[in-house]
Amino acid sequence: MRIGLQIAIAASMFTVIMTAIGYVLLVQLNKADPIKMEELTKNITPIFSFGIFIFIVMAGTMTFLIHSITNPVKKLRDAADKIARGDLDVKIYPKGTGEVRDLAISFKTMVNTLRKSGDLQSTAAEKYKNLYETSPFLYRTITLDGLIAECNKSYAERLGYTVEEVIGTHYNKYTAPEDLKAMTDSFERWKLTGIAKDIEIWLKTRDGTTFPTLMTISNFYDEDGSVIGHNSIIRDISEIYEARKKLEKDALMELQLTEIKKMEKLKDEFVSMMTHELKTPLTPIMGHCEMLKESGLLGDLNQVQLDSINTIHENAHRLERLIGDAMLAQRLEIGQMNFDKQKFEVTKLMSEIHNDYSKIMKEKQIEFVNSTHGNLILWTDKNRIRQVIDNLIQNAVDFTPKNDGRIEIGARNEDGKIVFYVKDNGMGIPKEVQPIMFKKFYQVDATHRRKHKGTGLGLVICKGIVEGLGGGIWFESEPGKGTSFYFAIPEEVLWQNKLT
Amino acid sequence: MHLLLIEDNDSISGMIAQYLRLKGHDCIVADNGKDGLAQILSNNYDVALLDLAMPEFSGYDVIESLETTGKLKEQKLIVLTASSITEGKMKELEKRGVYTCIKKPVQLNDLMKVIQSCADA
Repeated sequence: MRIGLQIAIAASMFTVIMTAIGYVLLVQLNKADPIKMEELTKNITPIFSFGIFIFIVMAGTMTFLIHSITNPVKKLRDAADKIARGDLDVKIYPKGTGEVRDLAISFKTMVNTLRKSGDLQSTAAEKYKNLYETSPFLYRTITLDGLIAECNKSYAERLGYTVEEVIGTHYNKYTAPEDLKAMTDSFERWKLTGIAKDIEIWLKTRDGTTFPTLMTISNFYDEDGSVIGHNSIIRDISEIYEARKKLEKDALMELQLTEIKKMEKLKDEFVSMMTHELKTPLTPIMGHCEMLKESGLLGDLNQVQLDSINTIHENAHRLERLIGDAMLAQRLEIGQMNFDKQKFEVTKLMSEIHNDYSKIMKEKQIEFVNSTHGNLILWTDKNRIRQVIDNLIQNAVDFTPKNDGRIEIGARNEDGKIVFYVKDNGMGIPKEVQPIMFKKFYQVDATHRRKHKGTGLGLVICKGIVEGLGGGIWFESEPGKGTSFYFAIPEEVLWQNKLT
Repeated sequence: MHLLLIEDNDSISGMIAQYLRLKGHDCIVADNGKDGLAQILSNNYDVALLDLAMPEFSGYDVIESLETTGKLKEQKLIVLTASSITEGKMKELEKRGVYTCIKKPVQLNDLMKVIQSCADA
């Protein structure tokens, strides 16, 4: 009975093993030919021993197989866990054979790819961070409640704060008072629409100064795609603003200039008209004076009447001269002066002038010298040159003391120019008024104006004529010692005109 | 002398005519260019004095008309000018046949001398 059970167990194990290895041992027992138990045992034992051997071999093989398959898989699972936790720093050595090895290789490739994209991501983040920090644009990140979550250094510094001071504050702390409404409106609009672009807002710095900016935003979204904040890209447009303001100012100035020119033209026309109209009544006034003064023509006058007429006549003359000078100055100023150019001997002109004034100078006991040397020839408006010299001599006479006065006139050739001069040893021109000597109606002092009886336009006319003839006029003066007036007419004018 | 004065300003023409008459000359006054031209064309004046700046028919128009009728060479003409006229313009007028140009305001004795020399020319 015991042996029977043992046989049964062994037989079933054997069956299992043989089945496992693909073999089936069939033991056929014939009822009609019963085998004795001993005989059976004796016959089965070798087969049974072989089965056990096979079993042991099989178990060893199984253990080896299990070890070489599950280990790499387990390692892969651990690596996957690490990756799942966000740690891409895993090492995979593809081991094993067949599918497991292939799987490990694929896994390694996958990890490498993940790692690369992770690297890219962190590079991008770094780049973004760099841009944000070092950008010349002012950046600030604002949450829906209007608080600044982050800002760059440019932003903080431009506004006079540190980044730490700015973070957590409300955006309107940095808005210029006059733009508070505009800024709030645009923020509320952004909350509704998610859009804000090219908004011109003035910001306020720590010390209260304000500056213009141009703002554009880019939104931040949460996982559901809802806007949770934005990054304001703020451009300081102070320079552009200044340039624009300058342009506007220039345009305005241009407009004003046109207006001024228009007014000037009107003024010129008015002056021309007025001087002409003023001069017309002078003809009958002066004519009648002349007739009254001519003895016998309109009946004889007594001395008092004659003195009276003389005063009228004298002042009419003065008025005529004043109007004439004003007209001339006006014409010179607006460039309407026509010059009558001719070739003439400067030396001869200077001698003529010297002769013409000799008598007056003798009367006033002024030493009068002409120091012109050489044979100077010029092609220009002789009469106007004479007018300038007359004017300068008149000035010199009026401002030179009697008795020991000295006036020197002359002309010389100097660097392709003929330089004329009138020098006196008179009172000189005070330093402070020297710069305005060629301005209209200027005379050094009122007492002298009365004594001088000039129109105050003499030097303006001289300057106008000389410059109109292509030359320049200047003076040297020392108060108390005298004044020297010079004017130069270029000789090239002579040659140019000679050729034409 | 038989003189004609063409001048639109009464004060000026009255004064000059008075002076010339006092000096013993016969002086007719025309107060506009058209009348003045008609006077010249229908009479023989020893010397005519002509103002340039006159409304409607100016002294220039008178000169031009005299030129086209060929009378400018026959009529001795002295032009009285406003001071705005340029030297060049004055020379041009003299070239065309005007005896001379005198700038206003004129000195009467100077004017008399010029009239005399013009008549004698």
